[in-house]
Amino acid sequence: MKLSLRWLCEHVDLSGLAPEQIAHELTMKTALIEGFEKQGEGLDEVRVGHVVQREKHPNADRLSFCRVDHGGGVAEVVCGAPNVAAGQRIAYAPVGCTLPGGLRLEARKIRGLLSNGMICSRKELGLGEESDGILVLPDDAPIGRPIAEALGLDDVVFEIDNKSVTHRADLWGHRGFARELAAIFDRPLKPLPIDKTLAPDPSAYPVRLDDPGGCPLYLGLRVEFEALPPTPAWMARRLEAVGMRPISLLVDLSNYVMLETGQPTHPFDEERLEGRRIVVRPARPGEKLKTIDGQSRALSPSDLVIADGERAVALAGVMGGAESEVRSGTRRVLLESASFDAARVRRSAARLGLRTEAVARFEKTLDATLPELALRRYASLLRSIAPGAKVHPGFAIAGAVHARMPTLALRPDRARLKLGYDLPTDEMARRLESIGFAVRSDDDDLAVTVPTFRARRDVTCEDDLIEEVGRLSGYERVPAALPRADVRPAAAAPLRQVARDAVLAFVRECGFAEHVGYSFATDRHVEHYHHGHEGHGETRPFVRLTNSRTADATRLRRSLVPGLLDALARNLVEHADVRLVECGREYLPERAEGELPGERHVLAAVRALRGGEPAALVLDLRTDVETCLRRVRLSWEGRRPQGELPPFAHPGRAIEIAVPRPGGEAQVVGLLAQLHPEVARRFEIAEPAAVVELDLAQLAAEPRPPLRMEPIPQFPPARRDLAVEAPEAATVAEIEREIRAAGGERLARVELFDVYRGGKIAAGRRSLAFRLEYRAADRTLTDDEVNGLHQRVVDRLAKQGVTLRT
Amino acid sequence: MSGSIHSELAEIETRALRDVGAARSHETLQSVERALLGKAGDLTRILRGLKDLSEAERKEVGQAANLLKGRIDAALAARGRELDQAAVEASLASASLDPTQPGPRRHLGHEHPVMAVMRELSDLFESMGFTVVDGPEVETDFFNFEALNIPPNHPARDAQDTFYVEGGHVLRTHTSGMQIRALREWGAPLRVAVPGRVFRNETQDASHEHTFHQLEGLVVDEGISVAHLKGVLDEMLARYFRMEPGERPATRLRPHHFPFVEPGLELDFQCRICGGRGCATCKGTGWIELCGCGMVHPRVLQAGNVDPERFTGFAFGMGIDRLTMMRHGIADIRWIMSGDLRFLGQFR
Repeated sequence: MKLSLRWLCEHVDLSGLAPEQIAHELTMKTALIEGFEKQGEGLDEVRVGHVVQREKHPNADRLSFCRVDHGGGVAEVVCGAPNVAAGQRIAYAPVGCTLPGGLRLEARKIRGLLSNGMICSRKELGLGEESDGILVLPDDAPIGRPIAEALGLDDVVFEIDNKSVTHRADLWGHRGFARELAAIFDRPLKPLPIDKTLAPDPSAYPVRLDDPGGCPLYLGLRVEFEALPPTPAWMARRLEAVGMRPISLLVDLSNYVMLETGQPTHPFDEERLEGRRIVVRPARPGEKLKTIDGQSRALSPSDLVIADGERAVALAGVMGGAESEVRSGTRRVLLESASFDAARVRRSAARLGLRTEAVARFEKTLDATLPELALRRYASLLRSIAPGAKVHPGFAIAGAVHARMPTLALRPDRARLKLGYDLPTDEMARRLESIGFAVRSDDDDLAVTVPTFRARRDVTCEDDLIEEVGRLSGYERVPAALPRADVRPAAAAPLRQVARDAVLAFVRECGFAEHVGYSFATDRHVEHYHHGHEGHGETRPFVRLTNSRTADATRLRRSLVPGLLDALARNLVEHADVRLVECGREYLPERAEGELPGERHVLAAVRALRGGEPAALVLDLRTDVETCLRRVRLSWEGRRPQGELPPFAHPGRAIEIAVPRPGGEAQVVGLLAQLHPEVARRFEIAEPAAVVELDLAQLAAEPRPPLRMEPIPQFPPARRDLAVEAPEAATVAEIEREIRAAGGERLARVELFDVYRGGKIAAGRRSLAFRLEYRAADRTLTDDEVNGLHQRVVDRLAKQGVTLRT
Repeated sequence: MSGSIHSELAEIETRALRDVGAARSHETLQSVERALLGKAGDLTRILRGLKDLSEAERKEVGQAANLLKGRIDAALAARGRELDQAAVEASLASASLDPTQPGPRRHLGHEHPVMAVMRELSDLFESMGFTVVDGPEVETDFFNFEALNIPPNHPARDAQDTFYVEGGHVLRTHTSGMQIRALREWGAPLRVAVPGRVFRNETQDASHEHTFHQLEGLVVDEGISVAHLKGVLDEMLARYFRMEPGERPATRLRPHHFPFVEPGLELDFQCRICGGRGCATCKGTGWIELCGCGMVHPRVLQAGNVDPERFTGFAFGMGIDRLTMMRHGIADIRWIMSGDLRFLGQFR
């Protein structure tokens, strides 16, 4: 929203105040000023010129050669605009001046003739977007005057951050800001000139309110005239300054009153209203209305309409109808000024996608006394501009003014406590009075009466009054202080700690980059990753969004993996070894109506290596998982997966990650696998890749037996290497278990150090080499003892078909 | 007899000193030692032959041979030290390297810059006595809006800004919903920080994302005021900007409207790029908005089952993405969730 300084000055004397100061004080006390623009800035050297002579350029059909009198002499200028003519007053920019667009003018030859300066268009002066020729000034524009002065460009336009005034219905017009400025700079607010002669007259025009909840008050002012003058230049300039295009006096007056008071009004062409009546009612099923923007709107019974005796003529509080719109032939006008229910207006506007200036105001719940004020202001302006127009002394009225002026108690001690400094009580009272509140003392408290223009939704409790006092007194008076509190430590947060430790283990020790992906599953993810199953195994459908504006955000993700695979594929273009890890949530549909969807905290990591060997890559990632689980203080074992695999897993190269529990079933906490070749193909990942998913909540929940120090051995171990050949079906864990069973307590350590296939090893078998350490706590074992133990190991393995390699 | 032995000793000595002096390595020196003093060495042979001599000769020759052995040992040791020293000198003289040649490359990981800031700030608030908690990302309308004094049809819940899920819940538009959950769970006094992912149904561009990150803070206790809000946020900024001890950030509070705080405020800090003179980063104002904040609205405290007469509180909610972008000079917010290693790989 824009504010004109000249307009504000009509309501409060701001002389002697720099725009910077006004913007700063408003920002600190009322609403954020995003910036301001001084009109005519950068046009200091552009002057009113007079085209004394114009002839066709001798060497170019479309160019003109002109002599321009600019007050300080006559310049010869080549001009390309088709509308330049002798005798015109124009904007002349001399050589050496820089125009607002950054163009610096120099004398230059155009088709053989020297051009000294430029005859400017509106666009070149930074005054408008359109530019179908040069700007032609009125014939009485004084030659040699600065152009800004000649055009009346002496205003300063402030830009308000709309979001900072959503709660302040009173600030949606210049009058409201003027009231704030009067309080801030301690200057009087001038009275608003209004027509005090008008009086309510229900017989002036019949109005019926069928839905008083939607429209509690409707006023109508009748005006007749033979002809109207054009909008005066000062008014057109102000409308343009705040971004509104002047149209015709009736419409411009309506806009002017709205931008001044905050109350939208609407002029109907009375002769186009059928049946001489206004009915405010819900739209009928199937009813249509052509609005002034030319669109035909299908209405719903939830919409409130203004109707005449026949049909809807306006959408209440949103937009007028095209058929009853005022036009050049209009001779009689009914000006509507009414109260509409904010929520109703908002809903209709949202449903039809119509965000008008009227909607922006009505949706904030306007002061109930405003419709009459706006009507009187309109009449007063109209009379002064068009004395010939006949304004009916009685205005139509239906409904009632539901204005409230509640009185609230303000405890000054409470205000001082919340604001955090010692603000005197009498200053509180003074601040409140400065913006229209009535204050009287009531024992130690203040009894504060809220004016109608703040009472609707804005100021309703003591804390709202504390805000008024706080902001007008200046928040820079608040000192900085630290709260005192008990030293009770924060509750432990195992999930947060485990999530952080786990992801940082991947980042800091395993070379992974931390990825942050969207919470959404795209259509492509569903098709390419979930194989088109909207329900995983037809049992877990996606959580769906109902109103997303982004095509890729229609469902919540059920896995982090597809997003990571997308990133993997993209990064493989530039990188040979891509490692990505992400900590995030999967969303599972709610189990019962009204419940929230489940959110599962997951860590997922993916890796692809150009030219890598898939089995080795899986083992590499297995080591990364090992590192990660160590850092979250868990031991684990890899197992053949049981049951259904997630889509990413290659069934031949998948490892279930299980955390053993003392005396119980091991708990599955995740799965690690080579990327399934079909998924790899669909995600266009040509390089070998592996994926792991870990359930962080499960990791956090697993019991962790305390780590106790083992005694350091006093005697040296005896080492024996054991190279065996085993069928592929025999797992390393199984063979290790057999070795340990045979070796007994003297076998301190078993470590696999080599795996080999092929060569002399038969198909379906592999060679495994273990390093064994035998040790006793109380002495050095003899060779004979070690050999005996080792032979037991060899014998036991042989019974399982695991034979010594020869 | 002893005369020939004496000449033999003299000859051994001459040869020994010559050979020791000529040894160029420890290996040669050891073979010289073996030839003289080893099992079959020349001097050993003489010492072994002493037992065949007369007592007088044995005494005389033995003494001479032992003296010679002592001299040879000394010569061997001296030569050994010379060789050691020569080896050190040779090593010093010969070795050199290019200090600019890098070592073998290690594949290093990268913490995501936004996550790093989230973790840093969580730790910071934890150190100030806040309990760091998280809440659901899919939130009920009640906790996300209604309990925060944003009733249905309030302009602050415009449909185009909120993602709705089937069944009427929303993707949380801010972390403020946790205010009520935390108040209900723990009551007052309370200090919580809520870092988390939030969503707005917006079209993406260089400065808008539909998914971003916030950190919410809430302090409720007896006697809490705007001064405490300013104090805590000043401390946070001093730490975030790594200020010297005692140095305070320039901040200002100005009015703003959020339905769940009253007074509603924004806290700005002076632009660190231009020092407040005005530049592109601060859009010429000299100030950068850190967060929306304010004193917890009594209706919110009531919704959290806390007595607003006895307790007051402050709350703030800051955007982590923007703080991160400012720290690293990231101009386009879309990089944050791009997953692009050319971006992620820049952060250590």
